Amino acid sequence: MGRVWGLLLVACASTAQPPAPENPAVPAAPLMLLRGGTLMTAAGPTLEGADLLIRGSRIEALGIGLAAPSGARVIDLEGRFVTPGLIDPHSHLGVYPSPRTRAHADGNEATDPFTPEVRAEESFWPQDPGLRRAVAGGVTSLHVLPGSANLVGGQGFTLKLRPALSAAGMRLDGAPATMKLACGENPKRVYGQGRKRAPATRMGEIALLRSKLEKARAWAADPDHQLADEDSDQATGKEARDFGLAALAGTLEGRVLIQNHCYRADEMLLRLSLFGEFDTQPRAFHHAVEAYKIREQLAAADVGAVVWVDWWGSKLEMLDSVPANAALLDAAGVRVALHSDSAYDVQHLNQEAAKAMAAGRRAGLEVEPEDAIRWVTAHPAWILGIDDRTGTLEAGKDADVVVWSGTPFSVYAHADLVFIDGRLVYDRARPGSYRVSDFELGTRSAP
Amino acid sequence: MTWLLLTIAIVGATVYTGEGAPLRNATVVIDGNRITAVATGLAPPDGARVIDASSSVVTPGLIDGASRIGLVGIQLESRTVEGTLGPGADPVRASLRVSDTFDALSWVLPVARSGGLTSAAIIPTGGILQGQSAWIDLTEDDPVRRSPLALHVSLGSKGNRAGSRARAFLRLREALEDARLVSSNRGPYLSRNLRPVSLSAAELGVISLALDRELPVVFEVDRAADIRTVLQIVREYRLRAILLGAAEGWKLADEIAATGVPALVNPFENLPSDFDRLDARADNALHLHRAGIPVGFTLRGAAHFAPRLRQAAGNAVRNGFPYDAAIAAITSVPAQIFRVVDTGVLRPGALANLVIWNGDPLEVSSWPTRMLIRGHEVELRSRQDQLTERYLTPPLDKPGNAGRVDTGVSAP
Repeated sequence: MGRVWGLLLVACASTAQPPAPENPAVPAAPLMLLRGGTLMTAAGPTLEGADLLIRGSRIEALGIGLAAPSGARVIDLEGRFVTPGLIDPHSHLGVYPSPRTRAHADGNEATDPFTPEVRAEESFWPQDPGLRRAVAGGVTSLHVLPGSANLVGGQGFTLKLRPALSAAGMRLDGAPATMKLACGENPKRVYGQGRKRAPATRMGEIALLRSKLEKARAWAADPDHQLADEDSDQATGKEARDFGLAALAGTLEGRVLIQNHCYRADEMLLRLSLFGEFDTQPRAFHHAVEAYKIREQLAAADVGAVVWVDWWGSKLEMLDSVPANAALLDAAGVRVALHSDSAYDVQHLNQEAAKAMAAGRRAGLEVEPEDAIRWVTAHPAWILGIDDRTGTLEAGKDADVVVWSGTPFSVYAHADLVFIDGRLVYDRARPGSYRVSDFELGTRSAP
Repeated sequence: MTWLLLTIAIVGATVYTGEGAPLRNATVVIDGNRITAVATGLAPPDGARVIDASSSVVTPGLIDGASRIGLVGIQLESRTVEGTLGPGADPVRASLRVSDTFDALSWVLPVARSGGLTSAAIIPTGGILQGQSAWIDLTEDDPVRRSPLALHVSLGSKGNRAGSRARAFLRLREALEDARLVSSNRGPYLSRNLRPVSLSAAELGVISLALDRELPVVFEVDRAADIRTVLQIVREYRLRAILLGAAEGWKLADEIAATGVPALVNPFENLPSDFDRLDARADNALHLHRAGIPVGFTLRGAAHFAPRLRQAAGNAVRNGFPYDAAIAAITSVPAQIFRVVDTGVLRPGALANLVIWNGDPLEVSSWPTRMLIRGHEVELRSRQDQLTERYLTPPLDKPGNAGRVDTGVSAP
């Protein structure tokens, strides 16, 4: 009874006081003008005192002194900063959700070093309490990957952080398929050391992968096994019998983007060489703590690098990590992105970008905010092959937009408003505006 | 050796003393390894070496009250991981001392210094009665200031290998009871006329120090229900206790305050990351602070992540924690919690452990430019800096250079 009265009171209150046009606590209108902000577009110079017009799910225009079309809802930014929604190109949210427990550990199909047929989307738990916290950090898109136990760990899942009851409801439709590969310590530890089977060494890893890629090439060349629908953006086709080989063949044809977990410079070069034997290459190396050592080669091959700022030392292959990695790579022309790989760090990718920028400056490099913002927006979008859709503030792009309380490169900055596809999904002034996970009902863990 | 040190005067700085509001345009005078004066607009003494820090910020050296620096080289290389026992060991190992295996030459220490750390309480890990911590300064010369510092007890569901919470509390109570019995029956114990006890004389000796309040007891515990039980035990045995973690502490803030127990918390912890922390929230530290509990910040056993301590403090401020209290939480408060005097503060008589920053020390875009530990200037250069310098120049395998590695990939 009390609940019913509460609802009635709320309803009465809203009839009595229609919301002011600038009140952001109203769901997204089809037409919306964000007026008078500092726009870090990730596509060019910062625009001060500028406006951003959102129509439906897209950015229609941006510039100084845009006229508000009739019927547009106007949000006065009062100089606040606006960036594209942040993109985490390496996350395990949903597949290693909170709380971390065996019952939830769905990220590594560690039963065979080759599992190209598995998809992170089919392990993803949309009730992970980490998801709303990522949104509160200004993140709008994630690339959720299987773990790195296997040489080929399975297909990644590129999504937008709109609340949904299924992974499919969050999928970024049209995003290219991706394939997680791993090298170095993890596969040989899991299989060689843990299971007494191949691969037990780095040379074993390369040899096994080479033979598997050769199989995929032969499979693709055999017309009886050819994919039914060449234009499908799925990794597998209707007539495919071996879904794993079909997906792996996609990596050779460039339809499936290789996302390769790899730390050491020498191993990244070995991988480039191996993929070169098959006329393909990775879209990006992930973790890539030694990428700065081979930044000219990565730039020449147009292979991206996905890196941390200050993660190091948990494994021997992480020893040579340096905080200036991102700045060094950027200066050499490598498309570098920052990733979290963590349910905590995904909440402050803006701070990680600020740290990476500061580390570059401390090393004597010239790094501007216009560079650093791209490390968490435009570059991860390119690495995931979704740069035609999101990652910058440009007319025609999806309206994935964050309004920050101050410069996003400050530790004190909050994401005030987060828009995904033109819809306001998070409003800091209204706790609970982003759907709280079912799991958290009955707890008192406010945002 | 203090006579070898010059008098140093740092002038023109914004000085956070670790105790409240900052001083503007202030001078810090250091004589030997101690601070002799801190005041606004003070003229440097004659003959002093003057460091101009106008446009800079000076803070006490940062302190993590629960760190693993110098105990972990590489996490997955077990032979570089110290201050713990292997998987099969008894979870009661109160006599383990981390100072025995602390390595001041660890490559982690220069990285920690680059984040502004000058001191830390370094802690054991694993087990229920985990061993004894030590207080160190991040210097190679005689780094250990106090050992033992505290007895560490872990009662959470993870890590202590007890099998269950009940078993962990059982072993703790058994140890406390046996130590109390033996302490008050030394004669019968030595002449073997006492009932059998669960632990060795060495273990009981350490626990007796805790019962005598000579050694504080750090309880690593997160779940509110477990914190409540710990507070009961603290009152029952009149222990000098410190909470470590306390992710759900906000639910019991008044009870913790009433028991007079300070807390070391990690401001980053806002996720239900395990069943001990289902009610973890970003403003936990703020709730504890408002209840009057001394709150220090810690990265809870971090080694390689040590430079993030100030980012943790910055995030606490972002979530409402008062700025000056956040500075204190990574300087004076950890020292006070462990009763390490003249540390974590800038005032006459205090040890000259301090950092000069090129901006707001809690802001991620600034960094330490100079550091003094016990009055000595320390070079802020880590192995990471050496690698960066080496690779700033054109890399070895630059395309076109002799010795190029053929990647087999041609540029598109």
